[in-house]
Amino acid sequence: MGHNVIDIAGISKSFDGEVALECFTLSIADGEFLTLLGPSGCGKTTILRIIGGFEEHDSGEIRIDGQSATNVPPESRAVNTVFQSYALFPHMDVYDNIAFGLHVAGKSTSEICEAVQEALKLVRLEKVKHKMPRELSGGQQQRVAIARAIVNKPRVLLLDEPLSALDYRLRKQMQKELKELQRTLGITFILVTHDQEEAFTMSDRVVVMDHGRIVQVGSPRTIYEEPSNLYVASFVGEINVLDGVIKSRGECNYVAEVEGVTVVVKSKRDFKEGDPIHLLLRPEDFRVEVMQDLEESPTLAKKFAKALLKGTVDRTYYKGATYDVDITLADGKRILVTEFFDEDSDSLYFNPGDRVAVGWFEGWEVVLPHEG
Amino acid sequence: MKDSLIFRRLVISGILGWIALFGAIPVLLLTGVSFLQRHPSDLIEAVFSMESYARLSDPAIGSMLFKSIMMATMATLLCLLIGYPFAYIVARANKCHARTMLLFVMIPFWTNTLIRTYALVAVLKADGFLNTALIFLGIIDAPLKIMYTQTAVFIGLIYTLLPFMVLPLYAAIEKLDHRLLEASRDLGASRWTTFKKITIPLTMPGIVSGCMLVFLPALGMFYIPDILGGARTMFLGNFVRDQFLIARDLPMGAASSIAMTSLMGIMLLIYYRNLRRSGRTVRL
Amino acid sequence: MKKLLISLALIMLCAAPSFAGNGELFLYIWSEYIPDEVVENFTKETGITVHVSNYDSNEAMFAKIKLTGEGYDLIVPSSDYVALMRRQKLLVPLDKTKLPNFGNLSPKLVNQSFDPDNTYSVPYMWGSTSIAVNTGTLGSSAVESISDLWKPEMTGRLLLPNEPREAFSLALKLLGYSLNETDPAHLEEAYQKLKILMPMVRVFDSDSPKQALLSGEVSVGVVWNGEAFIANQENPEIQYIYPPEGFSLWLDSLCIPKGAKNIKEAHAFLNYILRPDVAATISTDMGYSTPNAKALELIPIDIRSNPIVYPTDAEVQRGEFQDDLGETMKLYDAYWIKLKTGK
Repeated sequence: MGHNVIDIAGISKSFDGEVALECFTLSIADGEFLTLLGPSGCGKTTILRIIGGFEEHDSGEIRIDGQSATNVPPESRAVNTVFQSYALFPHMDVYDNIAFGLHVAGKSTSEICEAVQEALKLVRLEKVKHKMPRELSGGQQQRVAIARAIVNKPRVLLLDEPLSALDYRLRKQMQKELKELQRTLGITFILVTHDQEEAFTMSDRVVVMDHGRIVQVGSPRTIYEEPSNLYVASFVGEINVLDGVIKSRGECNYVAEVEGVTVVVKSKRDFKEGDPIHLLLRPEDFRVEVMQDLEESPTLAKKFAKALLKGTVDRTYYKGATYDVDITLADGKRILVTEFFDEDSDSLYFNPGDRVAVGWFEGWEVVLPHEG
Repeated sequence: MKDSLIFRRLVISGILGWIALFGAIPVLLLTGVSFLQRHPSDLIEAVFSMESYARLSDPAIGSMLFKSIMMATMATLLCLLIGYPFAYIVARANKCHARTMLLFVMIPFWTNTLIRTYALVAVLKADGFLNTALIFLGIIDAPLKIMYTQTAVFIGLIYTLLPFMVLPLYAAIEKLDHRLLEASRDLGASRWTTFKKITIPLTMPGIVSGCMLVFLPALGMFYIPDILGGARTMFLGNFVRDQFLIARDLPMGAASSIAMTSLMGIMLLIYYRNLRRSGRTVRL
Repeated sequence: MKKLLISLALIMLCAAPSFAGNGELFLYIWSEYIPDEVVENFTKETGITVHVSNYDSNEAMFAKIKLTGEGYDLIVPSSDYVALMRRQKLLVPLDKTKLPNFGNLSPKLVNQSFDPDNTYSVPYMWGSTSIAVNTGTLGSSAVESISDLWKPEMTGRLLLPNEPREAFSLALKLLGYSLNETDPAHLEEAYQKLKILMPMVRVFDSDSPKQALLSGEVSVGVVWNGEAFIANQENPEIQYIYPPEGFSLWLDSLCIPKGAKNIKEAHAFLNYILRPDVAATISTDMGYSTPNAKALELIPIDIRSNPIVYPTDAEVQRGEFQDDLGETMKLYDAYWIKLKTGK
């Protein structure tokens, strides 16, 4: 990845007095797959439209390839968009739709023919060249929309929730195809979605947004494993939030009282004695053993020596590859645990009412300052 | 529900009956009369004759038809040029403004066209509102000679027929998905190119409806060229009226009406055939 | 046979009331052509109920009478339609013994070619169609004859009636022919004359020509005298001339159509109209010229002496009434189309 293809500095935008974006600053590297992730109304589509040139920002600066893009109309930007509704021209067939941008640019017929053919091959739609948009399925329409955008060889491709109208299977398939397409073409993709799984599957980097502001930027792994706050943590995947207080600081860890139990936690952050904290654990971070088992097996007990919350099983859910367990801790807090089938362990599942000991994989916990 | 079936049948037969009685039957009568011979005192004679249609080939009549078509075409084009931007603005405006603007377009309808034409005379004549105002403001010294010119006729035609152009256009433009326009610009087309390649083709049905609704009445309107144009040219409408009311040549009047209507019908047929055939793709 | 007799008797019985003439009259007249009070007074004096229906063109009235054949007792056709309907036997001859007031009519307006001896018609209103000149813009001597209309400086300042016959009357009179001309050669001459005049005309208007004169859009108009009278009232500089070559006269007459049921009542009404006081009321109320010589004495002097309304006898001599042209009308129409389309 080379230089930054897009530089956004301090962009703000309001609609009728309502703030859509506030001090949005981001640099996007050439050739990366970036996803803007957030719920509806967080401003992700707004910033996408500003990059595309369909909205003008109120303040701040945006540069494309080093040139200022302020007041540059969409037709003059080396940026193409795949719209959420596909926006295929209903009065033109697939060929003409895809060829549109090239036609407008004044390319010769032979050039156009070649380029369109290539694009169709990339999205695997050679056979429908002369069909009208209304004759295509949703998935096909979407691919035509993609082909129409990439055939112009833009510097950046913007995708506005492109897969939201597709069914689950198709969506999963398209996610892989889009990723591969991006790798093949090597151009920058900026995707907007509210689906966390989608964002993680395809992106190099994810930008989590909330109410017009960037909350966290990072690789999917970083976002998932080291969320910067509760919002990010709870937005991506299931999270269990335990409350506690720092008791003392150790060399490379802290001693804290969490849910009434003294535990040892690791964190890169700086905490003082007495700071209230959140202890974040993903469902799969837990290790749960039935109390009975622990009493019976000293080896197991040793494993669990470091972290021991006590609780009772409420329900279990069989999910196929995993199973979920609802547990209520001794102090009343409810947590969700996801267990893989462990060949080591005798017990394959838990029963409601089982008294269990809950621990977690060391270092997998995330400690955040208590919010509110 | 048997009641709703009876009701439905009643309504449909009522409508069909109305159309037949006041639409189909008069047209059939007219077509029949056009093939009869003229009688100086009895008005028509029950003798088959193609005389009326044959007389249509007279160069004077041919010239009259040509002039009528030219006038109607000009009026249609002017209405289109004025009406399209207006309809576009109304379609893009917020709902409240749009409703007010449309109301202003409709209000003239509440007054009879003939009265409105006479009102235009009061505005345009040498000592009318327009000239008096302009002279008062010192913009001109002598009154403008607008009355009894082609300009006055076109003003009258446009004033009367513009709503017929605006309303279908508005309906078509309103339906236009503005995301398509964004897509077009995203792909590199300027505002003008987008207008040419996307907006126009997609609003074409509205344009055609508007043009038809203006052209056909314009063709037959004789009182506007008469009142505002000084009746110096004979148009199709004048001709037909004269045949029926002055010359008392009913077959001739019928023949000329039927001939014109048929011509219009053929033109429309050709247009729709073309549309269907090329409806598959719009070649860029 | 018995059934037939009984049906006949029943029909006679039903028809009897109309034969008995029990005081009804159906008058079919131009819109706004008779004052309401005149009609009401007739009913007051005679007890006959009058039902008034209106039409706005001779053609409409003609078509109605021709096609329905009954229902009206009195109609008011123009001179050419009197001739037409007379020739088509659509009129009932008048019983002059029932019209003692007939002698009140001015001699110069009776016994015209369109109805010799007034067998079928009683003159009601008359007037002329001639040239109105705005002496203010043109000067008082610019237009004094029909030939002056062809002067080049008249281009764009001329108004003609929107009717073929009136236009042709000008040309025919100019050439010295009758305005009821049927000779194709003479008509061709007139057509050539008109061809020259056509591009000079600014407006053709038969509905309200005074409007163009008063607003200054035209300076000369061939209009009928009622319009000229009103224009002159508003702008005294607009004057009306009776050219030496001649001009057209119009006359609307009362006639009884074939199929009329109340012939006795019709005659009573006709005689009533011929009364000087009634005729004078009609004339002053409607603003038209009355053919009733006795009524003239009752008309205000300023109207009576206004040449626009009442031309001198010498002037009337130069005028000519329009007669029906029969088949020749087709020729007029064909020329008219040629003139109007510039071919």
